[in-house]
Amino acid sequence: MTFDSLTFAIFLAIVFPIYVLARSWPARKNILLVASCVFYGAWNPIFLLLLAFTTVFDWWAALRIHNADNDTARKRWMIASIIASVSILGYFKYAQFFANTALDGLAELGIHYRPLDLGIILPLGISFYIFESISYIVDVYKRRVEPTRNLRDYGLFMTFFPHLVAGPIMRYRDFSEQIATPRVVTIEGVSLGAYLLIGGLFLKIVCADHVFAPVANLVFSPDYQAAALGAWMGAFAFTMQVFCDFAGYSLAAIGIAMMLGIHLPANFESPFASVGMAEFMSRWHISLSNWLRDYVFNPLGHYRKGRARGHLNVMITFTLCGLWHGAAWHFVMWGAFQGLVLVVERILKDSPIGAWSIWGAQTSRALLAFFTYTLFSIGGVFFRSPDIALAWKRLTAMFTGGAADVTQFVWNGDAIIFAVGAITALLVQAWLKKRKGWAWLPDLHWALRSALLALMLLAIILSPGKTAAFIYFQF
Amino acid sequence: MNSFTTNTPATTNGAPQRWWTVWLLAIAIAASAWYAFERYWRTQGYAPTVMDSTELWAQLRDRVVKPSPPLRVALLGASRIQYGISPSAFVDEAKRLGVSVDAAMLAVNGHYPLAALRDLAADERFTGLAIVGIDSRGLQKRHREMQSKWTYFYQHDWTPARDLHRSLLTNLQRHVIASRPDFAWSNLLTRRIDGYGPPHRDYVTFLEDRSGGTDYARGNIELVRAMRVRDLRDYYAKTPVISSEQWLKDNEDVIGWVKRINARGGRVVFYREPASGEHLELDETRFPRAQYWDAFARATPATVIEFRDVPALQVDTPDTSHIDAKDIDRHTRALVGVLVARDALKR
Repeated sequence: MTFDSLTFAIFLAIVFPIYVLARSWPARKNILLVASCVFYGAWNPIFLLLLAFTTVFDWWAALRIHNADNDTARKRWMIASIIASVSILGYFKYAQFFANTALDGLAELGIHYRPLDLGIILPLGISFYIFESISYIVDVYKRRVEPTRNLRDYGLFMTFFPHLVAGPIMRYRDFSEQIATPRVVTIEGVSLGAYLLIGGLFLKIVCADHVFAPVANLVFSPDYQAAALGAWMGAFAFTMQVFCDFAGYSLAAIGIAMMLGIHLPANFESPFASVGMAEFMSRWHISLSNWLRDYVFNPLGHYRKGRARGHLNVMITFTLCGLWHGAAWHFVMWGAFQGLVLVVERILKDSPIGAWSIWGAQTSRALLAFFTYTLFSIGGVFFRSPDIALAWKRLTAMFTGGAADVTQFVWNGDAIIFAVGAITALLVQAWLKKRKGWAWLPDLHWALRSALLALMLLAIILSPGKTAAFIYFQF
Repeated sequence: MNSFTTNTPATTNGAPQRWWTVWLLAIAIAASAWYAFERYWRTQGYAPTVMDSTELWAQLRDRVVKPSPPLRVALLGASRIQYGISPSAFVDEAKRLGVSVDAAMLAVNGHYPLAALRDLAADERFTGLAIVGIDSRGLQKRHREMQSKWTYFYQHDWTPARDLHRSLLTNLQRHVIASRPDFAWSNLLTRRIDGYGPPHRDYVTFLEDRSGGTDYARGNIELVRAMRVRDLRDYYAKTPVISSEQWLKDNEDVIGWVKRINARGGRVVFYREPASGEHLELDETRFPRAQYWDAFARATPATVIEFRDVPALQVDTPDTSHIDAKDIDRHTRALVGVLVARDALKR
């Protein structure tokens, strides 16, 4: 069940009033848990069992860690739990990838086997809920949080439907503090939450699928012989598309949770207004960036063990980030590219160049923000291409003009809509950068809020047909 | 405990937030604009229509594996079946002849149906009648996977949630022009920028049972016919010749699927639908009937029907490949008559 489906509209129309009308807080938590299971089971009920296993095992393991009377036992339980989580993720997400890689390796040695189809179905949202589960176990081990004895509460943390299949990736502490006391549903919260839900759907259905996808899909279709301009436009369009797709989903999730009185952390904060990739990464898929910082980069040693080791840690972290996104080499390349950009940026910042006063000027910052968007778009070529060969082809076209028989990019209706949309998106993000969160929205004049909402509603109604699956559902 | 409060807090500058006003006004504006949109396009001669999708296909695919009676009939094929057979007329004519059936349109425009037949053969629940609209060209192995996108979707991605979504969407599409992709704001704007004007008026209709019809009187028939023949010429120019021996050998798999369906009480009919003129001549040149179609008919345990053998099935094809909407009912009823006569559709 996706937020942009009519089924979800029915689902929410049933769940929300039941939740509001329930008399006690425990009853409302039970309703949310059942609703979350229905939400997930609507995709494939069998995989509810996997989710249930992960939930119950890690809940139990956390209690064992907490109750262990020595550090060795605590560590053993933590490792056992993480191995279980990583094994589940490894099997469902990476077994086919590693099998194919092994076969390719053998083929290089002249040993040929038939391609192996393991027929493994990737459970929806597995990358997200496994990461939440690991963070809980590590936090309990590090004594950052007290484990809960209430399986229902832990189950609700894992399955809470707004964030279950594509995040934001939550920490148990943030969630447990909220569900410890009854949540009060207010007109303000429901109105703003529903507003954000509509805003999220607008980003996904209107912007991602109708404004940016046509150009990205054209340029990244394998048969398209891209020239330089076309390849650049495709890269820029895809970056906007994936942002609107994923930020739209996150915004809808935040809005739905807000309607229920629960706060989810922001996942995107005007990333295209970032000056430099380090800032960009603190504004793009924030919950994943924070997770990787806390559970990979910091344990690896951060920059504490010297610059060279720090640079290596950045590369390891972002290469893993790429692999998290997808079990394919082009995702690994995407992650490694982002890591490389971060390392180069760090080196430049640490050099005398970083101290030049020119970087503080308004114009320089605007140009650097566009340069950051451009760099991320170059990396996005690896993300969007189905394989490294096509990614290389598009990158070659971007920097050398492409093959002789290229198709010249035509400034037709799709391209003009994309260009206007992209410029608008960049300007809006520059405006939004100064405003953290959504507290500014209720302060807007009611007529302006109304007009904006009417425009988004109408645009959603008039955007049928092109709706594609949320890009991050595949992860 | 009070779980819901209706007090509206003030904004940071002290003014009331007025959320009720915001929402009611926004809904009123959006609804009015939507209504105006619908009214305008209706005055321009356009109407709502159900749109095809893998989900609509999957809904009908679900139906052919439901228990009998009635006898479940899967109508497989490409455009000639989808725009040449009416499931409702099929059911009606079968009933008139004393057979209770439920016919589901699983043909997919522009895609030969062998993947769908393979999918039904692998599904032990299917014990009905599969009518496969196909010709010798479509029986080539190179076209076998054309409908695998639909079968894959059904086997891997079809869920009750999608079923409900599709049912709601079908209802919406029946009544709302705005649910047509060709009336999306982006499409209308793109067409305007590119100088194409408003969307084309349809001469092809599509119904929620996934059948359709082509009203050639409303289209430029000379142009359509020329395009069909040109496309077929291009196809044969680009496609390597396959010997009848190899072609028959490749179709041993298909015969295996037929046997599998037969073994559990089901039946399969291969039906070569009407075609005419240069189209038929081109097909006959590349795939002479005696060496291909007739040889296949002898090898398969399925019932095989060639339109040229049955006068009632020799319906006019204005574009050389598809029948006109006005002939669909007659064509369907004639086919049912032949199926009953050949005992493929049993009383």
